[in-house]
Order: sequence, then C-alpha cells, then structure tokens
Amino acid sequence: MRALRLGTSWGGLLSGPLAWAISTQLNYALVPWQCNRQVPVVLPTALVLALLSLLGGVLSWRAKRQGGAAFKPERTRGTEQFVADLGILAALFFSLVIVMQGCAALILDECLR
Amino acid sequence: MSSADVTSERDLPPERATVTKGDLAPEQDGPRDSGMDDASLHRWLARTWRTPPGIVGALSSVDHKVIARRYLITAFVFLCLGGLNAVAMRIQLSGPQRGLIGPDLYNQLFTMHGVTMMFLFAVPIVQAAGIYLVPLMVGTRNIAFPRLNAFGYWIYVSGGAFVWISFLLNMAPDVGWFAYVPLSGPEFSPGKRADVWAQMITYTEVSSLALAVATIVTVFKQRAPGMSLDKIPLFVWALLVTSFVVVFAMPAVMITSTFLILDRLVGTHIFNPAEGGDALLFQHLFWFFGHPEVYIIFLPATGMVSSIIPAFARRPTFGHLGLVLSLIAVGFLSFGLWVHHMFATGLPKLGASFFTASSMLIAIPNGVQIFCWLATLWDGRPVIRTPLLFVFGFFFMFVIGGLTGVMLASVPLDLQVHDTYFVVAHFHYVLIGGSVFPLLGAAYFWFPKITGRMMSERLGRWHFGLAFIGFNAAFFPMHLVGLWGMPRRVYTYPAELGWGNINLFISTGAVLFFLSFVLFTFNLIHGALKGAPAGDNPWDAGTLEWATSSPPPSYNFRRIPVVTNVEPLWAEREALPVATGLRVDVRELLVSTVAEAYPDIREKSATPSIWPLLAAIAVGGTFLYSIFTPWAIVWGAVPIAVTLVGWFWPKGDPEDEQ
Repeated sequence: MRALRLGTSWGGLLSGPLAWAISTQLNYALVPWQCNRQVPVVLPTALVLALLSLLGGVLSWRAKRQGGAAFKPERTRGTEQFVADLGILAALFFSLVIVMQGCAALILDECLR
Repeated sequence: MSSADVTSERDLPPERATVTKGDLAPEQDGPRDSGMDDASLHRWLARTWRTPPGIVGALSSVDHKVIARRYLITAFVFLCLGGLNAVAMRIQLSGPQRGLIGPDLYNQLFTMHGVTMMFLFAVPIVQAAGIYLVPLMVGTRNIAFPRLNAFGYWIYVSGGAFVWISFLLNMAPDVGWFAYVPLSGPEFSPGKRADVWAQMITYTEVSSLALAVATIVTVFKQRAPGMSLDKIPLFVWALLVTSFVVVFAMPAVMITSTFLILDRLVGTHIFNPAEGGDALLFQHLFWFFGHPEVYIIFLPATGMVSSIIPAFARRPTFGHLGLVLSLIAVGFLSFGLWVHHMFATGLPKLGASFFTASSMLIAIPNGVQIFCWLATLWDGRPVIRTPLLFVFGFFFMFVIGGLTGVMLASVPLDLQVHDTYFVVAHFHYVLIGGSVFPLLGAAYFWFPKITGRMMSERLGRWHFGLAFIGFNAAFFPMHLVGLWGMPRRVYTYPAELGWGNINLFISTGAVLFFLSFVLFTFNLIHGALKGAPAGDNPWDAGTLEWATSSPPPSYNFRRIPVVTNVEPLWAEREALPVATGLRVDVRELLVSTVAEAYPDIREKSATPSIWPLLAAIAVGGTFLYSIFTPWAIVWGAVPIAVTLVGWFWPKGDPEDEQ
C-alpha cells in the first residue's frame, strides 16, 4: 500500500511494456476465439491493458512528486526522478501502442485471412 | 552522490568495503593506490594487469581490450568475405542470363552473404565495440567475467571458421540466412549443408550471449562512483539495452536450430505437419529472434551516433532522457514486430494488424532520437570531421530505410512487394545506413583511442564520398526494380523483362561501394602504421574513455575516476576527481550500486587463463561432431566437463585464496 500511496518510480517502466506484451499475445490468441463466437473481446481487452499501462505511469508520477516508496535519505533524488520520468513516458507510449493495436478491431473483420 | 561526497583522492569507505564479504582482501593485506605516487602506481598496476608474454600468454589473455581488438579484426575480415560474396552476386546479376555463377553456387553465395553479415560481422562487431568501450566509459579496470569474454571470442572464431571452411568444401548452407523449413528439413535438403547453418547459429549465439551477460554486469555493477543511472553515457545505455535484447532473443533461434537438427538427425517431426508438427512454428521462432536481431545491430549504432554528435557539435546531447527512453522503448518493442516478416503466410488479418501497429509506432521512439540529434547539432557549433560526415550519411539513409519500413509494415503493400528487390533495398538502407555508416563513423572516432594514432582526414572524406555515392547508386534503384517485380534470390533473369540496364547500374554502384572499403582498409592500415600521434583526447570529447592514454594501459585507469556529470571530462576540465583504496598487487575492481553507483565493495577480477580457449575447443568440437551423430552430446560432455573443471579450479592466485 505504501508503494501505491507514495508511488514507485519504475512503475511505468514495468507496467507499460508488460501490458503491451500481454495485449500483443492475448489479443493475437483471442482473434480466432472472437471469430468463432462473434463476441467482441479484442478492443475491450486492449482498453483494459492500456489502463493498466497508465496506472503504472501514475505510480511513477506519484514517485516523482513524493519521492517514491523505495526512496531512502541516502539515495539521490535526481536518480529516482530520472527513473520516474522514464516510467511516466514509457507508460504513455506503450498505452498509445496498445490503443492502436485495439483500434484494428474497429476496422478489420476478425475472420478475415 | 553529489560531487561534494567524493573529493579528489578520497579513500573508499573501509567499513563498506570490508564488512560484508568474506572473500574480500583485508585492508592490511597488500599495497593500495592511496597516496602512492604516479610512477610507482603505474609499475604496480602494469605488473598486476599485464597480459603474460609469449604465445600461451596471448592465448590466455582476459584483457577486454585485447579480446575486443581480436573481435574487431576478425569481424572486419568476415565483412570483407561477406562483401566479396556480394560482389560476386552483383557481377552475375549485372546482365541478363550471365553464366558466371550457376544456381547452386548462387544459393550458397546469398546464404553465406546473409549469414556472414548478420552472424559473423554485424552482431559481433557492435558487441566488440561494446566490450572495448563500455569498461572504459564506465571507468573500470576490466569487464565483468573476463574469462567468459575470452571464451566467447574463441567460440565465435570457431563458428566462423566452421561455416567458411564448409563453403570452401562446397558444403555451405544454401537455404537462405533464415533457412525456412520445409526447404531446410530432411526431405528437401539432404546432405550436411542445412546442418552447417543450424550449428553455426549455435556457435555464434553462445558467443553473443556470453558477451551480453558480461556487458550487463559491467554496466550494472562496475560503474565509477557517481555515475548514477542519469549519468550513464548513451553508448553504454545502448549496449545495456542491446545486451538484454540479446539475452531474450538469441535463445529463440538456438531453439529453432536445435529443433531443426533434431528433425534432421534424430528423426523428430517438430516442423513436419504431416506428423503433427508445425512448419510455421519455425518462422515464428526464427523471427522472434530475427526481428530483435535488427535492433541488436541498430541500437549500438545509435549509441555511437549519440557519442559522435556531442563531441563534434561541442555541446551535450539534447534530450538525454528522451534518448534513453527511446532506447528502452525500442528494445521492448523489437520483440513485438516479428509477424511483419510473416504477412504472406496466411495469418488472420486482424492478428497481423497488431504487429502493423507496433511496427508503425516504433517509428516514434526512432523519430525522437533523430530529432534529438538534429536539435543537438542545431544548437551546437558543429565541427565537420569524417565521423560526423558518416553520421550525416546515416541520417539520410536511415530515414529512407525507416520510411520504406513504415510502408512495409502495411499488410497490403507488403503482400505486393514480398520477396522482391524492394525489400532488399529497404533492409540494406536500414542495416547499412542505420548501422554500417555509424560504425564507419565510430571507426574514425575511436581509432585514435585504440591505436594512439589518427586516420587520414583527407582519405576519410574521400572514403565517405565514395561510400555514400556507391551505396545509394547500388541500393536506391533496387526499390524501382523491386516495384517492377524482380524477385529476390534468383541467380539470373531473362533479357525480355528489361531489367538489364538498371541491374548493370546497380552493379556499378556496388563496385564503387566495394572500392570505398578498399580505401577504408588502406586508411586503417596507413593510420595504424604512420598516422599522426593522437594524444589522449584528440576530439576533446567528454566521456571517460578519453580520460586515459591512447591506447589505454592494461589497467585502463591509474585511479578510478569519480563522475559528476554525463560528460565528466567537460564538467571537470581542471582535474578529474578520483577514488582510491583499491589494492594494486592483485586484480581488484570497485563494485558499485545499481542505481546511484555508490562504491559498495571491492571485488577480484579473474587472472589470465588458457582454460577458456581449451573449453571453447571442447565445446566447438562437440558442436561440430553433433551434426554427424547425436551421441556427440554424450561424448563431448566429457572434455567439456574436464575443461570447465580446469577453468574454475582454484589456482592458488592471491585472488582465489582470499
């Protein structure tokens, strides 16, 4: 909980690539399932994962503002902020990629080969 | 750590250095560099860190610079050999229905060209640049795991020799550098050619993984005090990200090649659909490695560009954070693009489109890099020297390659130009424009550091002009001939198709490009023998490798530097602050914390040993034997075990006894 409250500088660095990797793999596997059952799951999955990516970015943002849960007085603030900045930007970038992937479901038919 | 924490000549904190680790040198055990005068310090360190004399001594070397020099020279030899493959192919294709080279030899030539350039030149040379420069840039005395590093080189050389000797014996792989099944499977490729491909992969990937692990540990744990994450040079960041990509990508291709050997030798049916296997699995596994491979080659090149530009723009890089983010984002994204190599295999269109999205959006971090570099130049006072000329060439060609890359990321266009010369043009623009040009710039940039002498600036400008014109003359028309429908990997074409003139033009460009490398080779040799003395820092650059002499001594730095800025030599123009307290009678390194690079403990560094070479011979022999019988793994395990036991057996060195 402390990590959620005070933030975690590397949150976005973890959540962004992780959410994007899950989105790529899961949605790739879900395409035949969606084709068979005609239940639209690709876009909602992508949006949930984009949110996951952004949540990690929020943790990085909090760490930038409040120092972060792992911050100790002997550590350098600048390094922690550098990691937090990387986290915020990575979360934003990877959520954009995930949304772009999901948008394909608006255009393409899932059964098209 | 602020600069106030570590003043000049500050002793390492003894309590942190000795309390926690039992195998560390007790403080009173031997002489330390604290308070020692420069001459005595040099005598001690030179004796402790030297490579032993004689042939056995040379073969035992674990000095990262010695190993890296061997890597660089070997990779350059392979570049020349791969280039000669290309010249032979271009002569054959210079006119319709030429009879110089038959289809069988042509298949071997294009396979050897791809295999040599990807596995024996491009990846090893960027990693070699890394193992030479990273320990210098982070301010340490040797790379982590120096014996593993030496082992990597011997395995690499044996893999390269294996495939090239096979070529001389008319046994070279002829199934393309990707060796798709079923063509490379037992049914369509009898004989040993495809096995040579599969096992050559194992050699080179083992070597690549060894270097990647050594690089990662060096960057994380051996940085000079004060070099926190935000002060790591961009070249080091690039090599760090690349090494992680290597660690996660290379196992995929080793699994692919091992499965292929199992299918061919043991009779499994992993890739045989008729027996429940999956031929497409090969492509998925191969390209899960193959696409990150492009970035393994490209990312270190961006690191080189990020080193060259600030040195000649005379200001620190604009957007350091954005450049680091770009490296990390590209490193991750490189694993999510592989299906764009498989658009023509009939996968579901919606599934393929996820990879289209990632392939198009990877242009964003790459674009950020380009704009950061341009902004650095814009705001600086650029001094136009040969390394910077090659960076300009890189901008021009890589942007063209990137634009055709975005085009190819689109499924409909990719299907139209699949397997045509348009694709050949695209990836040569990306690989030569994106990687070889920065490498050439880097060669001019760091040659003075490696040899202590300058290369000729006049010849360098001629070299750049010839290479730039030759490359574009050779590869730009390939876009057109590809759009006209000329397929890749054909050994000739009929005159009626009307491709004769443009192919003659392409071949002329290829000869010019080849001549540019002849000029480059002359400049290298001339520079090494008769170049003007370079001094420690001929470009007045800002990173730590320029803080030591050219060429650097075996121990790299007389005293470990303390870093206060991302360009430490610019921030501390008077005198670089240093940390002291390391022993000088044994090989001792400073190990620091991951994030802030606080000095943490002192650690031993391995002494020279012949065992990595013997282990590489045992491993190489086993790999070679295993293309003939699976029992090689069983029998080969014995000499491998013996050599590894020898490698790790305590030798009574002071380092081992503590």
